[in-house]
Amino acid sequence: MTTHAEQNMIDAAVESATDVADSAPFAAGSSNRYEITIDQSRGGVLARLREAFDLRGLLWMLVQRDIKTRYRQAALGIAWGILVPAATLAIYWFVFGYLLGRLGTGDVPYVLFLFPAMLGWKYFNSAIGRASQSLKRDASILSKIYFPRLLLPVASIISPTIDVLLGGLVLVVILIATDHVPPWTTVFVPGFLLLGAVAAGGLGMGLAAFNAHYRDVQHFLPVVLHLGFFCTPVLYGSDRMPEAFRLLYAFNPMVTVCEGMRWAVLGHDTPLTLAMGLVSTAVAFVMLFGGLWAFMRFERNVVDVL
Amino acid sequence: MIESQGLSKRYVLRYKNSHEDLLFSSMFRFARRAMGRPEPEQPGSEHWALKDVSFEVQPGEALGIIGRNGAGKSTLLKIISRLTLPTEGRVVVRGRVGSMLEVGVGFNPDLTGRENIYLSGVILGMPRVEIRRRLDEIIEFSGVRPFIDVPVTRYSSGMRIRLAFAVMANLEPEILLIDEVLSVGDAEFRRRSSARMEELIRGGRTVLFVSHNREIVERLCDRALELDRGRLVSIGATASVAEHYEAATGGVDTTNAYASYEADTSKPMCVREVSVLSPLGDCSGELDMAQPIRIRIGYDINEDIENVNVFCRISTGDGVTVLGSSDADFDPANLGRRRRGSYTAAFDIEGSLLEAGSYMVTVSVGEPFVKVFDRRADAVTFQLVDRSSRRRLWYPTTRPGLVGREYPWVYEGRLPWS
Repeated sequence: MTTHAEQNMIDAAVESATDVADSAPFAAGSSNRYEITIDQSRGGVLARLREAFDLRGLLWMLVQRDIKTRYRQAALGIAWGILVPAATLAIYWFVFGYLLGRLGTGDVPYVLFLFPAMLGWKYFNSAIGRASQSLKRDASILSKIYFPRLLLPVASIISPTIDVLLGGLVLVVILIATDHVPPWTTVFVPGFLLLGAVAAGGLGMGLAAFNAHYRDVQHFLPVVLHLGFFCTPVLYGSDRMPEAFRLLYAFNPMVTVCEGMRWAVLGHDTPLTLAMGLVSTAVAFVMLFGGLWAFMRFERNVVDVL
Repeated sequence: MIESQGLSKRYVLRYKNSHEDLLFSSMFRFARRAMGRPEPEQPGSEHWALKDVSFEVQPGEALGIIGRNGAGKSTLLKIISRLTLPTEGRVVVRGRVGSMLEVGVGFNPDLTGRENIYLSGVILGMPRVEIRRRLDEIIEFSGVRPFIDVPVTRYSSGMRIRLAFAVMANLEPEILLIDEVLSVGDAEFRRRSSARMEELIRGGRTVLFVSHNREIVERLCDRALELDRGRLVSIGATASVAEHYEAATGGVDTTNAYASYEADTSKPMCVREVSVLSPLGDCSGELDMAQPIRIRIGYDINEDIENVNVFCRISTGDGVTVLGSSDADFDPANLGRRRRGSYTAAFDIEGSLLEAGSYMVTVSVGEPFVKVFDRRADAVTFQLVDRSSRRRLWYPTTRPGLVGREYPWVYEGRLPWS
């Protein structure tokens, strides 16, 4: 109803992105490019990454499918992408900002304090949730046609960025309402999100492979994410953590992501230090490579298991 | 070009109760291995789905693969399409591979027909620019143009299949892997789709074509290979391989688990549809013998009529009738007056009643002992395969006989085993 225009805008944006990424890998005509030897070995990691990269046209199609199907068949359509974060924010504000008293710092309104970090966490949360289910969700495709399986979890961590963009609209409203002018540091937001994507990608890939073999993931993941939420400075600021433990605290990469996004949008003093950022980044990349390794190991025989 | 050398695939069948798949036991095994202890023996039995299969397909050649169910045909296609890894041996594939193992891969019900053409096409390996170029052709072929911007959920199953096939039929890879799944839809569409398949196969591509149907293989393929229980038993000119296969299996081996017929209003009653279904509603025609089989019959009554029934006969591939059943069997009152209209009725045959093998279903409607209004002989054919009996673990071929039950033997007194 109200949402067709918005939906079309998104479709158009995604489609034009696809066009650019597409064509190249297929256009080269020589068939030698396509010589493959299939044997019991799994093939080199680099060759397989390259293969996945060559098919980025398919990756964009998968992202596009994720985004398009998310809000279809819902009467309010894409408006949910705005209503949900707004409602969540309202609940958190009521419980933690009003009932339990202010957990924020300084003169910043709690809503403004809360929201940037919440966007970061929400992204991480849904990226991991989707990525860990990605192989299972598309088992019917996996058992019928080959493509680099890596594309599925990767698509799952790209598609929730649409929620961040929609959440950004809510943020704009908050900024106007609180009369806060975003400082120049706002340009760092995508950087912190990328760090979140690295961490989510690593964990998501590992969990996706694991989930194909053991269904335990779907049971313990919500608990772990719940715990993770409280170990991340979303409702509160990292300055509540004793200084001595801050570096240890930063082993959770989301500490830097959430605290970083808050700093980028508010431009205030931050408990985040460069050392903490480096620790988080290092951990995120360890997660990425670990997840990639686990995924590559499980990938090729996943069809026999699913 | 495809070049296979000593290709083998082993599956390990685990007994159900082993804790193989549980997280803790797998962590336990990992820990044991890490400590350098050997893995404890796993109960289970090996099954070679393919064993030492070597062959070559030259560019532009069409090779047919024939064999019974469970001969390893699908496993071979799965390996070449990179869905699963071989246990031993290797295949070299030169050229862009397109596999047609099933229609509708990647279809998403929430997306529109047009969006699904792009999605499914790209998943099947078609470049997006090419899809755009052929979009019109694809939509035209599918015959669903008026609904192309409607979500696929609202399509009938026939429309969905036609659209899915239209996407697939426009793939133009250098190497084409085809499983015989492609006889779908109504008669008219089936004719068009098989014409398109022939065009693709004859169009100078390298083709691997799996089929139960000897005639189609003979018509489309230059050479053929025959698999039996995972081994290559003959390879060469299609005619001689097909002959060898025929001699070995002794008869037809096609499956066609769904048939539909035009309404014929000149008759008081007519058969419209016959299908054989698994409990999950799968009508691929290949069913697990241990599961119940549902025979479903759709028929029309064109005028109010009395004393009629619907009769169904199941016979083996060599014409022996195994059972007959009528919709008036359980309640003779069903022979009373029937109103005009379209009806669908089904009955279930319990699992393991019939032995593995191929069966045909004949359906007739009419007045018992008096008159047959419409009769469809051998309307559908289905295969029962053994996927779960205990004896298959040591007795890999089909048992002679028509009854598929397994019976426990009881010893009186002393046992011969220590």
